[in-house]
Amino acid sequence: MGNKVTTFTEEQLEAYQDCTLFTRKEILRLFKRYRELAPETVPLDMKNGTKKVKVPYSIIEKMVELKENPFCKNICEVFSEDGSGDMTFDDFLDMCSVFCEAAPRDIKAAYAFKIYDFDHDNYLSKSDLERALTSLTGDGLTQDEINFVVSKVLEEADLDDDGMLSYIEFEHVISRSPDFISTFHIRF
Amino acid sequence: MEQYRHQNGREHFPLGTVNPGYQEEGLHYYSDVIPPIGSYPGYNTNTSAHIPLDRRGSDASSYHSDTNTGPRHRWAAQEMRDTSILLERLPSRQLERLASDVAQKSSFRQKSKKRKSLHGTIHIPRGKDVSKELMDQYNEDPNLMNEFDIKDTTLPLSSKMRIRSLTKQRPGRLKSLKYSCGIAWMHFRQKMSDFAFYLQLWKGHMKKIEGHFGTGVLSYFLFLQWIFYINIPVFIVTFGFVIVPQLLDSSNISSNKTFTGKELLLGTGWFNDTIMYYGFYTNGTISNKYEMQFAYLLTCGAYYIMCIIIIALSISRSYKTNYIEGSGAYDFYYVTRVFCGWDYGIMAVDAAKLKHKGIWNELKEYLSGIQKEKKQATCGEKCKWIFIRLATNLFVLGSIGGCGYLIYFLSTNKVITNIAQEELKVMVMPICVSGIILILPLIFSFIGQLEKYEKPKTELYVGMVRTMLLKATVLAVLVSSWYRNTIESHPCWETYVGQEIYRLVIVDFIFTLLVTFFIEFIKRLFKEHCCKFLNYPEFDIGRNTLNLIYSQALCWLGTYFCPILSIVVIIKLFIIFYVKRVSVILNCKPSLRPWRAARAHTIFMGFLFVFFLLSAAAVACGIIFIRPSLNCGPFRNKDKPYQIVTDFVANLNHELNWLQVIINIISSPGFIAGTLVVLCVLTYYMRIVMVGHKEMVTLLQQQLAMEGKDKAYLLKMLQEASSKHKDKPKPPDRSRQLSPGAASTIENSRPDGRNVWIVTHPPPTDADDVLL
Repeated sequence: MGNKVTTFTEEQLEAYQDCTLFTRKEILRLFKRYRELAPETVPLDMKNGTKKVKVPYSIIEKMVELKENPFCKNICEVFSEDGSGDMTFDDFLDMCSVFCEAAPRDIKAAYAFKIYDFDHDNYLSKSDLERALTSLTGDGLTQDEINFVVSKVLEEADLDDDGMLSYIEFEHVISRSPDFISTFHIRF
Repeated sequence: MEQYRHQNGREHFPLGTVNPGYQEEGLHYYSDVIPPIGSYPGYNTNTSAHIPLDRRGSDASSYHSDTNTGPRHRWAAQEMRDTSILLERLPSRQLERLASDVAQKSSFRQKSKKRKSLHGTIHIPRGKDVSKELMDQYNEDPNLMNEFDIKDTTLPLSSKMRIRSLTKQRPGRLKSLKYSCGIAWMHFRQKMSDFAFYLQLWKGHMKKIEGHFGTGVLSYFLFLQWIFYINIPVFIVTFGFVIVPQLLDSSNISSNKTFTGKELLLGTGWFNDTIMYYGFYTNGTISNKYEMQFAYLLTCGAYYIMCIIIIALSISRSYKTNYIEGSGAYDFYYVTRVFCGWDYGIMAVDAAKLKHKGIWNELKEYLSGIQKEKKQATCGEKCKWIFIRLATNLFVLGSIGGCGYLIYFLSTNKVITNIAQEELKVMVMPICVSGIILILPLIFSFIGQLEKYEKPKTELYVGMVRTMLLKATVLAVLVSSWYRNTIESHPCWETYVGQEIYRLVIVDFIFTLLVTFFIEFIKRLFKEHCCKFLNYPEFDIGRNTLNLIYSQALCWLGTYFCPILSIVVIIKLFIIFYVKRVSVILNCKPSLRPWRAARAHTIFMGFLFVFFLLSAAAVACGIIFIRPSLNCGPFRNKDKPYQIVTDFVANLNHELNWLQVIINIISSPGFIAGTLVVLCVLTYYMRIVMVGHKEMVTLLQQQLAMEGKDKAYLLKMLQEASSKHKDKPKPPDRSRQLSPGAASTIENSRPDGRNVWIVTHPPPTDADDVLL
């Protein structure tokens, strides 16, 4: 119990509470979870700031919640602030906050868009869709089938006919898919 | 700076490929000077900004910083290398801004109604230090603090924290009191949610189930948990207002029977003279103040009203998210498969493999289904299917009717009453009912396979409707036989009905346990040890959830006759949760068949609602029309339980005339009919509005697509023109006025932008003619 209280200062905890969707208890629980990933690198005392401590991507990707996810690499990159996949506690908390149940739909959609945007150009182009589809199905589909599905996706979602999806088009279709909220959700 | 260089390297379009006019702006952007926030159009017009989603620096922001200035001659001097790059820079490509603009205008309209919609979502490039600008915004407009919630932004957490720390130092001068109240309220809410954190049951189990089986199976457990939760307030109300006062009553008769243990199963004997059943409650006044009759009836009414509010709220929410918001002009089949196909909750290796395979399967099936659809079924085949479905439906209806008759027969016939052994006599009926409810749905699902529906979804829903029809029939026959036959044959018929329902609940519980044990556990043992050809059992989400609904309907039906039933159901659900959880993890394999949890949830809620209405109606009938027993229960001297209400109103006649008048008006047929008519008109109006909106959406979508095509066409012309007239300078912002929507998002937009956009048809001889 003593440990828990002294990991963060009162102000830090309050700041986390204001900026995430978590309660104090959950923040402490998530910190415990974060520390379990790399007990040597993460000190128990985070009062001097959380910026310097990073858990490398190689450890994050082995987390049980992420390791089976076909988009694991993208998730780590999106949430890590420097884009490398290494995560500070802030990044980690950010990720948990987005994937938690209480996160609003548009926040989730915004991050989902980033996750599916493999080449980071702010558009979901054909190649992004193909890569997403390949990650999803393994190598089961033939190239023809992939092309067909990709063209169908574009047909459904591409409102301005430019051959790729911008965020607003993505959000437009995602907000109509009731499954999105229930599937884009990780219990950390 | 280091960060920006890094972003620069990651730019999708290397700066070199962009023409110099842009490049200069690009340099401006990437220099140390961060562009003033005012250059984001969102910030100028609205309280919250909608900056496009960029990960690491982007063209979007650099584009906007060059709207005001721009070395035009340089732009024209350069040859356009690639239309696609120009296209990329077009305002309409930044559709995000456009849409957020529209959305915010509409939300301003709703400001008074729904303040929260004003927040919008702030999407800010990741990895940029934007907190300073946001901070400046705060200083300029302290109201902003109210207008949006920092939680609703897609900033990285560290930036959020920075903004927070910056704003914290300078609270609004005038509104500090308001803020401190707000903060106190927030702290209170945080305390409450901390408390709620402890109340959350089964968190770890849920995680494990979701990790192994995905959201489909989890939805069953969430439904179970939800039903568990709604029974708790029901129990608290009955316990607080009915059971405790009765326990405090001094005129308690001590039971002369002893508790042997088999009562737990039979619900008779010792239980008869306890607070368990209706018959035990007094019709007197407790401590000279508390009228038990009113307490009993009002509590009963209160929990039905409570339940109807809870269910109606959650069903409307679920319906709204799944059917109204989800219904557009298109059914986004592929988009859903690709973007929502993966279940992010999955954690187990096997489950992940199966999920991959499942998505693959589903796509394959759908692809082959498209090819199949092309060939039309012949007339003969159609007739054949119609005939088969007619026959199966007749069979299903017949078997449901047969079951209803069987139960009616059992309840009236002397066969049972002649059975000597008391235990067996009372247990025949519940075992029959539970047996029917267990076996017939299996037959129905077999029949469903014979019918060969095109979509597995249709088959599933048809099976569900049949199962629920069966359950409703069985319950209806039971209720009618209780109301007709038991009244004469039992001295305290309400207690007897309570016992019957209690036994039904218990037997249903035992059957659930047995089914879990035999179908799931034994099947797995067989699979592992002798019969390798068997499949691993799959968790049947539909059947299990429908069972939960049935059990809950029993609870609602029985709470009037057996006030303590809700706690029995709570205990039952608690045990079932653990049994199912252990069984599903140990025995079952995840299904390859996808389960659309969100939609199915609405269907289940619909069934639950129907069953709630049916059971509430049955109880209401009992209260209003059926004569209570003469010698027991709170209404023993009355003609009908409802009579206490009419008596009460009649007594008011002398004291409060106006109340009497109001009650008379409300209960008059004319008033009820009028209300119904008004409701119907309202519904019709809403429907018309909805249809109109739908048509509008289609129109707008078409318009948008046309606009995109127009723009591409114009751009092509522009490119051709510019290659012809390399020496003629052209202003760069022309191209941005090609679409009216885009023009509206840009400041200083030229008023003639709209006209330019419309002229698209004549093939140009000179590009300038078209553009000006």
